[in-house]
Amino acid sequence: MFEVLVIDNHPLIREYVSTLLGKEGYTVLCAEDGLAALDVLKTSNPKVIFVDLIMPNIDGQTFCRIVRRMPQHKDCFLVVLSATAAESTTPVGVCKANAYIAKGPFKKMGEHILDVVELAAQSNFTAVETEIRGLEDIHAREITKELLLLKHHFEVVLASMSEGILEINREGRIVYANGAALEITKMAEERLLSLRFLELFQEGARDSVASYLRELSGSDAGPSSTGIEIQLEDKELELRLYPIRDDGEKSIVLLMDITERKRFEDQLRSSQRLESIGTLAAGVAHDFNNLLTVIRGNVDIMTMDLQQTHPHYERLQEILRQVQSAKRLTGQLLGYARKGRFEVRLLDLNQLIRETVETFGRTRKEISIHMQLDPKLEVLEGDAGQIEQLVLNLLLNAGDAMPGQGTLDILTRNVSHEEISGNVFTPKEGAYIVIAVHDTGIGMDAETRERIFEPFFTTKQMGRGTGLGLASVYGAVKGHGGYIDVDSQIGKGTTFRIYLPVKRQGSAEVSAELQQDEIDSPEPLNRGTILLVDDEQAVLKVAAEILRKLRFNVLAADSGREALRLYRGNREDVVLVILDIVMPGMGGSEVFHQLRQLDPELRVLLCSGYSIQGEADRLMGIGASGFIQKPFSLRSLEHSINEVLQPQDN
Amino acid sequence: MDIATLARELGLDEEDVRRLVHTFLDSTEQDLVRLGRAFSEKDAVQLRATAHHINGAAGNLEFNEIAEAALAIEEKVRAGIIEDLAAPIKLIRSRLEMIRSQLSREEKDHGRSDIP
Repeated sequence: MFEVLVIDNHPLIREYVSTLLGKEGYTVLCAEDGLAALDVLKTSNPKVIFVDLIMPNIDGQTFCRIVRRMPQHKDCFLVVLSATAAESTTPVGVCKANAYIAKGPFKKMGEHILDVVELAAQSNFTAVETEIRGLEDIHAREITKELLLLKHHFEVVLASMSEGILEINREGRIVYANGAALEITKMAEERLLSLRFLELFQEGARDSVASYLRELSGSDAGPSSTGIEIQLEDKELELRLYPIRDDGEKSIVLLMDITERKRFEDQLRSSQRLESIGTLAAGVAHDFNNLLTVIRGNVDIMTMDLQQTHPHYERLQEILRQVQSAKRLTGQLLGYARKGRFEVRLLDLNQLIRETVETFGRTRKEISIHMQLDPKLEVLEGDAGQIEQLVLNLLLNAGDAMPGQGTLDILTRNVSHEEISGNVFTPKEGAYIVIAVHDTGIGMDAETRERIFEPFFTTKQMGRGTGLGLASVYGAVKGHGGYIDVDSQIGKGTTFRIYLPVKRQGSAEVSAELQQDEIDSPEPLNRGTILLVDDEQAVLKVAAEILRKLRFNVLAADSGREALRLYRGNREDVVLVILDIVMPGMGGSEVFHQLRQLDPELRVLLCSGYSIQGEADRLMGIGASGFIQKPFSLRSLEHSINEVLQPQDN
Repeated sequence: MDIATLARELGLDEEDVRRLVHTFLDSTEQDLVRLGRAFSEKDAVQLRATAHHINGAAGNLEFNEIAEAALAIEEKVRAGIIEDLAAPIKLIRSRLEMIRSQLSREEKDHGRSDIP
C-alpha cells in the first residue's frame, strides 16, 4: 500500500478521504492548501494526490502545474477532486491530472475515490482520463460557473499586468505570483511559490525590505503610500506593500521594474551636470579670452615698436607663444561647451580617420590597430577640425589605456535611429554614422565612467593630461547633434561609440584666423574712423591702440548706450563698428539692431570671448559683416577689418 | 439524521460518521461567524464564498435543507440582495443545532449501550 496525499481547504473532505482510504490500508497525508502540500512533498513521496481546485494560498491548478515540473513527483497519479469540476470552463486536460472527480454526496464520491486509487495501483500511473467522474450526481450550476468566470477574469487581468504581483501569507511565504513577477525575479513558478519573500533578495537589500515590511506591518495604515527602491539581481525595483483589508494576515506586494527609468534619470542627471559644467567652462573661457586679448594686444604693440635685436624681443615672443597655448585651452573649453568655432563642410569620415590613425600609429607602434571602415559610409556634414580632434582624442585615450601592447579596433558604419534607440539616449529620427573605438586596455570602473566627460577630470598623472580631451569629444559630438555612449569593463577594455547625424542643420561658416605672417599689405595714411564697443576697459584700451597702429581713428565706447550716442554724433565718419556681443545693460545684439536702424548699410564686425555659435551666428544671418573671436592678434584683427571693409559686389 | 444508515451507505463505522458530522458542525459554525461578519460589513464576495463553502459540505453529507439555505444566500447575493439574508442564516443555525442535539443524544445512547 502506498502513500496518498489529500489537499483540500475543507476539513470535512480531508477527514472523509483519509478515513475512507485509511480503512483500505493506505497511508493518508493531508494538507489544507497548495502551500502546505508543497511542504509535505519535501519529505514524502505520495503516489496518489487528491487535490481541490479552489483553495487559498496556492490553488489546485497551480499546484498541479508545479508538481508536474518537480523531478521527484512529476509522475505521481494526480486526481482533481473539485466541486467546480462540473462548472469549470477550463478544459479538463489543463491541469495535466490523471483523473477528475466532481465533489458531491459522499456515498457516490467515495466509490469514485476508491476506483481511481485502484486504477492508479493497476495502471502504473500512466492512465489519463478525460471524463469527469461523478457528474451524473450533480448539476452544473450557473452560480458556480459565474464565480469561476470571475476568478478567470481576474487571473487574465493579473497575467496581463506589466507590474509583478506577489501574494505573501502570514509567514512571509509567496503563495501567488503573476507572469510579470516570474519575469522580474527570473525564477520559475515552482521555485518562487512557497519561497520566503525575503529570500528573494541579497543580504543588504534583504535588510532594507525587512525593515520596510516591519514599518508597514507596525502601522495601521492601508496600502503603503510610498514604496522602496531595491536591487534584485541586475534590476532596480520599486516595491510596494498592500495589506489585504479583509484578511489582515496576507499582503500583496507590487514589484515595478524601474531599471530603465533609473537609467534615464541617471543619464538626465549626468547630462544636466555636464551642461552646467559647460556653462561654467564657457564663462571662464570667455573671461580668460578677454584677459588674453589685453595681454596679446599689448605684446603686439610692444613688438611693433621693438627691433628683433632688442633684449626683450624674444621674451615678448615667448609671451605670445604662451598666449597661443592658453588660447588653445580656452578653445577646448569652448568646444566642450559647444561654443567653439564651427566650420561646416562635407567630410569623407573614413579618409579623415585613416589619416588620423596613420599619425597616431606612428607614435604607438606597439599597438595593433584594426580598421573596419564601411566603404559605403554616408558623407558627413561637419567641422573637419573638430571631428579630427574628436577621433584623435579617442585614439589617444585608447592608447593611454594600453600602456604596453594592445589592440585598437576602429569601426564605421551607417545606422538608423531605430538601431540605436535602445541606448540610454533617445535619438532624433534619421540616418546616423557610428564611429566605434574599442581598446583592450585597463577599462574603467563605474565612478570613472560617470565623470570622464567632465572638463579637467583625468585619471592620468599630473602633467600627463589636461582632462579636456574627452570633454572636447563630448562637446564636439553634442555640437554636431550626435550622441555618445561608453561600455567599459575593468581589465577588459573600453568601447566608445559616437553617433553623428548624417544631415545637420543650422550650421554657419566663419572665416579662419590667419597666422601672423600671412598678411602684410600697404596701408593708406588715414583709413577712417572705427567705433570700438566693449565693456572691458582694458580690452577697449589695447584694441584702440592697435587700431590706431593700423592707422584708424578710434571712437571708444564702454557701453551700448555710449556707442549709440557716439555713432549719432559721428555717423558720417564711422566706416566700421567693432562690437562686443556680451555686455551688461544694453547687449551687443540690441546695439546692432539700433545701429542698423540708423544706417542699414553700416558695417559691423562682431567680437566675443565666446564664439560664432549662438547670438553671433544669428546676427551674421541678419547682416553683420564679420566675426572675430577673442583673443585676437593685431594681424588677425587687421585681416578681419580688411575683409569687412572690402568694397561690396553690389 | 440516521448515523447507522449513513455509516452503512458510506462504508464507514458509525464512530467515523459521528466524527465527520462533528467536523461538519464545527466548520460550518465557523462559517456562520464569517457569514455574520460579511453580512454586517456588506461584503458580497465573502458572503458568496462562505455560503458556497457551507453548501458544498452540507451536500457531501446530504444535509439538504442546509445546502438549500446556503444556496439561497448565494443566489440572493448574486442578485444584489444582501439585506434579506436573516431567514436562511437563521435556518442554517437552527438545523445545525438540531443535528448537534441529535448527535449528542445518539452519543449518549451509544455510550450507555457500550456500558457492560
